[in-house]
Amino acid sequence: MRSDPDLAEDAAQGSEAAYAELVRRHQARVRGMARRLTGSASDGDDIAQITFLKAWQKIGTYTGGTFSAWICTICWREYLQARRKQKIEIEFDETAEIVPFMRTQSDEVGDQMDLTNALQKLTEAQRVCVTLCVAAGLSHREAADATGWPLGTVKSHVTRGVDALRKQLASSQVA
Amino acid sequence: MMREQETYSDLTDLFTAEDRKLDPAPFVQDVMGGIRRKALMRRVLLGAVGLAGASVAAMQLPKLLSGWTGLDLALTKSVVDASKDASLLSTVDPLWLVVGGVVTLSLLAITTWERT
Repeated sequence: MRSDPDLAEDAAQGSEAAYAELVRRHQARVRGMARRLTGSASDGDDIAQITFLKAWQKIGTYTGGTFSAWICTICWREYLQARRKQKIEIEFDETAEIVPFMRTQSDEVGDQMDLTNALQKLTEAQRVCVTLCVAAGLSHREAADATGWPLGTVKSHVTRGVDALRKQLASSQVA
Repeated sequence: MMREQETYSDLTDLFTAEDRKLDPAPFVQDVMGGIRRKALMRRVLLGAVGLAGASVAAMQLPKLLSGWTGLDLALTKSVVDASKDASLLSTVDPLWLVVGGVVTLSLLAITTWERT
């Protein structure tokens, strides 16, 4: 099986087949990330699609390293851009209220899984850090680079977010 | 040292299992379709702009050629006229040729002096 950097190199030379393989490999991670960030399947898939279109345009700038971190960084920026269009600022305060992202009733029907519900109950900053590090599998350093937040802040949000998530899951299982 | 991810690998597995349920085929098709549409649009746009540029250039061509022909004719005419005048002058009075020769030699001498 060809490596991500090899496929990216071919894609940079115009190979659509190589890029399609990259999309196939990373779509689940990126869609999952976008869905969790937005809290909506349709908005998440829209952002994931824009992410891959942008990545195709920028594929020449990929200089090796973890492809998933590179693509997740683009996804994070697209998510921020979509939020800016809605003029919703991310609140990094631990005590901040959870800000929903254009949730519709039809989206909520498909979002009834415990894990998703538990994630939506975290604070905004915790949800972002848990989504990037725990769900998308980025290292704390990669998540800090992607978001531009300090490494210590990311670690702290991940730790608290994971604790809160475990508590939520445990309580939903008891109930 | 324990890696940071190992402390929550169980949760990562849960998320990964959730993501694996997503059907990749329609999504990949949508993305690649979008890429092809954009490429097609770019090609059409570039082609249209190129064609418009070529048309404008082609429209300017007759004007350019006529200008060039005019310039060429004017040069030829002046050379012919000059030689006619020179021969006319020499037939009227050969002294004019001597005067012309002296002036030309003087100009050449001054030019050479100035350059050195």
